Amino acid sequence: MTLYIDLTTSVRWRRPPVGIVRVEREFARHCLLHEPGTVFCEIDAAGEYRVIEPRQARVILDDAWCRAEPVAAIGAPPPAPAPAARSRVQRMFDWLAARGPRLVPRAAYPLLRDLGKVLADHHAAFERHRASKRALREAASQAAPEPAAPTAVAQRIEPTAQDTFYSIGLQWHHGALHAWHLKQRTGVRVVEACYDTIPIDYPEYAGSAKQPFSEHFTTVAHTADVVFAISDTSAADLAAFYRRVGLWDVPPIRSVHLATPDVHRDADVDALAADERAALEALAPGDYVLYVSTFETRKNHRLLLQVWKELYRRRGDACPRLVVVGMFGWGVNDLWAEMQASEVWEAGRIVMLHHVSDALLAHLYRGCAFTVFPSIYEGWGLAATESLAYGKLAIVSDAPALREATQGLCPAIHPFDFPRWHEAITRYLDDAAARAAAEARIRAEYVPRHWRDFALDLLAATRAGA
Amino acid sequence: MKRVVQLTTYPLRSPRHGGQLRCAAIRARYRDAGIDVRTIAVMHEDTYRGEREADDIGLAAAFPGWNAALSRFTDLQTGDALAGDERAFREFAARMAQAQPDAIQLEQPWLYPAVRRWLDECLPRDAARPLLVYSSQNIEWKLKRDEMPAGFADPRAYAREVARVEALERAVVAAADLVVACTDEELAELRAADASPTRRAWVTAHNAIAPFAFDTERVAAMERRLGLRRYPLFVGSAHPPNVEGFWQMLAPSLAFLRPGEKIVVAGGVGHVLRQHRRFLAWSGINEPRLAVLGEVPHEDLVALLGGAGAILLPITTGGGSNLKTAEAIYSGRPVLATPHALRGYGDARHWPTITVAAEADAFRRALRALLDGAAPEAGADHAARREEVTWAHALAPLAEAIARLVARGPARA
Repeated sequence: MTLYIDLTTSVRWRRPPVGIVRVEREFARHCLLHEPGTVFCEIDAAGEYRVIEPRQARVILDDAWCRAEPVAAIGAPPPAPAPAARSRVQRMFDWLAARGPRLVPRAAYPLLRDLGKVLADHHAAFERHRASKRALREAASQAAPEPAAPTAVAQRIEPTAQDTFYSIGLQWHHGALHAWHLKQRTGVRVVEACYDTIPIDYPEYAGSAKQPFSEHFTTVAHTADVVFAISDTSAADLAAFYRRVGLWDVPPIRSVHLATPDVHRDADVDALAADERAALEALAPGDYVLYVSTFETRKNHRLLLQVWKELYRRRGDACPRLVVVGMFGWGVNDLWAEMQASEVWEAGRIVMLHHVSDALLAHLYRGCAFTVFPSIYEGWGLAATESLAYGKLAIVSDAPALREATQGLCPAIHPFDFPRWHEAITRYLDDAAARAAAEARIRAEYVPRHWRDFALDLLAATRAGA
Repeated sequence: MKRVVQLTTYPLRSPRHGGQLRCAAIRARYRDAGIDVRTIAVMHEDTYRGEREADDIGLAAAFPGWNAALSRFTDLQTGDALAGDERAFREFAARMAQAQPDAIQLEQPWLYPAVRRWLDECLPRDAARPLLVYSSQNIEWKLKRDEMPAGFADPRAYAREVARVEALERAVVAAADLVVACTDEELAELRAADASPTRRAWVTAHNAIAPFAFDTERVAAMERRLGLRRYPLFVGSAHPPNVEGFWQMLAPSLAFLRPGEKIVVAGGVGHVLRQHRRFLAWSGINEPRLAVLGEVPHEDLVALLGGAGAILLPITTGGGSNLKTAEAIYSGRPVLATPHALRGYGDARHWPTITVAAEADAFRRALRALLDGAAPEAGADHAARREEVTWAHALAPLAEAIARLVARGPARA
């Protein structure tokens, strides 16, 4: 029996990995090391899975593949950007725009202006394309042997019905339909993943993703021999979705809890890049609260903004900082505007950090008073478990998956209960003994999981006949 | 030669929908029996343009009786307009005078007010009163009652119109010499509602179809065009019961269909299916599982029937009997139907090609089983039995009844 692992997500992800990317990478790493004969593959443009040679897989699964960009700290108004140089075509239309009414009939001017914009946009796109081709050529001529992305000429995979194919990454981005076709062609056992059904159950927090996700999980139901869910909550939510859409013939859904992220105990301040050191030095140890999460509506940063406004009103300059680590997400324009207009922001008591490396994140965890996780709903809550792994208290929302992930060791509060959040944050800021007691309990009782545990559990749960 | 005037609210030159097909088949059957049939179709001047025959009458849009707020009752308003608009009525009276009918056949009750006025005002006192045939297609008032749109703004006005329809149907039955229904059940209902002591004839003439045969080349070409084999097929007009029935039996979603499987939808119903709230609730799942073709020519429809792995008849409301049911039964292809869709087709439910499911869950599971299993065989006697759903067979009792009636002459002066 051979394992086949779809590495498409890992191949295409060239930034610090988010949770799902990390799951695929860690499972693949485990199989690369401990499951001899594992075949790695990627979807090509025609929807065929092509073999990735082990040498290439090692490169892709190396940490260097996900290099961090320079850390970006946002806590003060950014300087105004310098005006971009205008291209020749743009300048021509600038001139026409200035002279247009005199040169052409007034009625035709809007048409001319639109035409100018279209042409200018096309020209700019062409310039960008030419520049990127040039950069690629130059990079190719200077580059080291790495990174060796798989090529389209690689063999397509030919698994049999006795083999198992894992596609557990961001499968909805590249299409679950390809796994369906593979299953039809070869009869291979297919394992697919459910991280959460939030875009379906909470479409208000997921843009327009409800319908694509519905179709994705429907295709999964027809394809997978086993679906692995990252929590009992997600497993129950997926089963409920299948009932809602009237599917009766669905694969077994098995919960395999994620691992606790690795703790970088040895991360050394001196080893940090200069920009990372600068970001860290701006924070006094023990004098900030950390929230590691994408900046998006569902994550409920709004609640924290209200709490920090209140803390700043009461404490002034003695107000501790709130450090938010994560990418900019969707649907937060109003919140971002409100945050920037607030006095607590103006006073620098809220700081946002993007492109944070694992090493810097380790320092941030070690230095914080505690962490918060007021998210409205979750499939798991990797960052909350990460906080426990560093021995730090996390105040979490009472979303079921967060309770599951934190093993019942953390205060859990309804995500919209402002008074209780304010009270709990105030208490753990001011009461060092309570904080220490909570941390002692976490150290004594929290059972961390390693990626090896996760990989072995996933293999066991998805083995034929399991 | 005996003369019959047939009155409809739609022209019969290019019959497409069920009512047109039935009326055109009756006309053809009468003519085959040696009766001189003249059809007068009466309709709003803005409808059926380019499809009218010489005797048809377009009603002026200026007639004050049209009420767009009660658009479900346009047929009732058509009858009001013909009887109430002087120009239209004069035109109608002229046609009738010219035709000198031995019998007047009302297809549905809508134009009866004009017929009654013509009999009262225009027929010479000493002339024989033509026989009246009421050819029903539904119990109309019940159909209207059940079709009230959800959240209708003025339900009391709607109920008033339903009551008018009911009174009109009773009046037509009471005046008729022959009452025709599409199903035995509806004939019994009309009969039960008839309180007058007058003797009249009663006959059931089931809905049916013209025979057709599959052309294997066309069927294969259609499969290639669709990129599908053994597909479920749903054929229907945009008539609301078609849409409601489809989603009632196939909801909550089409997720039970596998990737690449599609229900092929032919006829006006397709575009309306996509506007239904049940479609929209899971549009991401439903959209790739529907192949909406719109209206298709008859030969394409026959090719679609020939390749179908299951012909769907998910009809849960509506009166009369369904021409699509006859088409499906005749095809010999596997049919999945509600009990309601089979009304008027006797023991068809026991035929080997027909699967009946009354509940949504059973309907979807039965469709899955039809797509996964071996196609049921039509049986050796299918060729003979399917003749029962052709017009020739279905209209035979009516042809005999009308022949007897016109041979007897006017019963009452």
